[in-house]
Amino acid sequence: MARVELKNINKKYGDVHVLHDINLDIKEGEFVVFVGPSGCGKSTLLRTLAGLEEPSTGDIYLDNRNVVKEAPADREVAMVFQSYALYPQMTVRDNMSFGLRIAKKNKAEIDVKVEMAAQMLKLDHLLDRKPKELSGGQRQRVAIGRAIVRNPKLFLFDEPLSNLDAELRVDMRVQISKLHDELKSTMVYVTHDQVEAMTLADKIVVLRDGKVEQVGAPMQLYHHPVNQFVAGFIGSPKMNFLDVRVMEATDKSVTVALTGGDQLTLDREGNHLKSGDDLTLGIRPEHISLDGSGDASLSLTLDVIENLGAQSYVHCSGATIEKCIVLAAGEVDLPANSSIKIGLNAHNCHLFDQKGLAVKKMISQASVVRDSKVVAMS
Amino acid sequence: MEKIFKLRPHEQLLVQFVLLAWALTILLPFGIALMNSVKPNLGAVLREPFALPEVWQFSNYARAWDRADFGEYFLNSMIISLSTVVISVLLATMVSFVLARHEFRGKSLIFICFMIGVIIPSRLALPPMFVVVKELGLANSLVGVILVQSAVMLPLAVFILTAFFKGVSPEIEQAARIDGGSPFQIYWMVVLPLVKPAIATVALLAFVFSWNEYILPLLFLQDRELYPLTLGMQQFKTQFAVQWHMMFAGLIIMMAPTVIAFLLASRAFIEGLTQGGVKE
Repeated sequence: MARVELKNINKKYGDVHVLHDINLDIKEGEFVVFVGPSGCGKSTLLRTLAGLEEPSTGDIYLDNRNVVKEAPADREVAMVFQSYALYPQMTVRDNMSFGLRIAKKNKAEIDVKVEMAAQMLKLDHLLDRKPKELSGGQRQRVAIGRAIVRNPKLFLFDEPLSNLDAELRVDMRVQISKLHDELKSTMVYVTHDQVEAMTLADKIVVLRDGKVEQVGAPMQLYHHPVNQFVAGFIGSPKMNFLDVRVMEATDKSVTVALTGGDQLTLDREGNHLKSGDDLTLGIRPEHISLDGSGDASLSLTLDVIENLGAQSYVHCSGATIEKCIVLAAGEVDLPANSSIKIGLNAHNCHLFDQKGLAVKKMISQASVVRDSKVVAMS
Repeated sequence: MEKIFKLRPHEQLLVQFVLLAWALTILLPFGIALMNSVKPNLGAVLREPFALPEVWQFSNYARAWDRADFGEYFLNSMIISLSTVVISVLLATMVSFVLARHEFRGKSLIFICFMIGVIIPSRLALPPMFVVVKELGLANSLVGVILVQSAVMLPLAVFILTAFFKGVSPEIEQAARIDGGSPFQIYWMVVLPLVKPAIATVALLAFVFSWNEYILPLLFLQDRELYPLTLGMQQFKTQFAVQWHMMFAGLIIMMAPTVIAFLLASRAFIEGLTQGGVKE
């Protein structure tokens, strides 16, 4: 277990600035997930932690020791790659023991550690096989086993489940979660799949264009996104956004008008807003009703229904909203191109200003946000 | 194996005709050499060079081996060829690993220098090469010939191996770095086994090149006891004629190791060693 601190990490490749002033504090035993779209710098940040990339500026502390100049092996970290990166010419046993053999540990100790890790990952019957004789899931378990036997202070996972099929991915996700519970090690995990992030993480770091957008527990990010990007990125299907206009704003509430004419009053600090300001209202698909019930309603045209059995995605659109997804329980049987009225409740809505920043909630709720160390980067 | 092209019957016929013609072109001289190598005397060769021998005299091989000191030449050829293989493969894999995997100033220039070595015929560099070898005191020694042949082979070996090293997933090497491997351990224990097919190719080329080389030993060796087989063949050239039947027997003996080398190396070509290590 290790505490990890990243201080003012910047990474440049020539003129391209990939990471901008990253500051993070990862507590001992915490499971931290870096999420963000492709090219946001999450893998570069992980590789910088591993020592495979050197930051242009900044420091990395592992248990208060600055390791920024240390070689990967000296940092006591282990990494699991997206492509498994197993040594093809070696057996599973040799793959898992490679690091220990390099470190010149005695054979008995190596054997015990490999056997223990193999049992933990249910690989004990595969120890004498080569990677090409294993399935994708088994190979990824070998890669995890190779990390475990070294007993590292910090585990790094670089999109380890991306190459697996959907069913195996769910299975491996559970295994990694169990592994974290058993080992109680500090783990940093990179993914672009926000379902993995939500289910695995103690803390999520949302990155965009090399900058940290928000850090917080999964439910904090879900309920209190600090900006429109985080709101759109966390949650599946993604949050719907509607254009609204401020009708009245006070220090305790903001009243906005939807394009259909209905008005919604939200408990937000609106003292910096004025009547006529254009804002964006965010509402998650699961918080919209299809019967028009709620504090406000909006008429839309139904485009497509995706029935999944237990739930349905209803895709609709309107004159002022290009795409709106409603998540309804059970099956929905409505004709395409029919007119529907969706209902919104004020307490489920999010409000974003023209810069995309969330309009703050009233003090009582904002304090929750502050306590969980939600960090907004403008 | 999956077929790359699907040919119609008449196209297949054409392809097979071309392949057969090519095989005959290659095998015909070999067959003639084989036939003439068992003829009893020079007269039989000169009278009917393309006819089957009336008497099959296999003892020509034993005579060629004994009378022309073939044992000694064979040993010299083996020493030169195997040493060239070991030196050129070892140096070329190290150079290629660094050129393919490490960033440093002047890397492109070094690679270009090796490429020039591939493009420019080594014969053009013979005079300065001779001076260098002589200045080093290595003229008329097997070491001199071995080093020159290794140097001549190196550019092509680097060219082939660099391409193969670039094909190895960098994540395998990074995993080894995180596991604590030093650059040499990563080269030796992780990456080198993954380019076995390329090493087999280079080793084979180096062996065949140095086994068949005539000009370099001719230039750098004076003492008969240091001669490789290619120079030893001259034994069958008498004052007035060439002992063709013995010469052909010698040629067949000389070809045997290269054929064996091809057979041994072909297995390594087939093995796809990187399969399974990384997700393709």
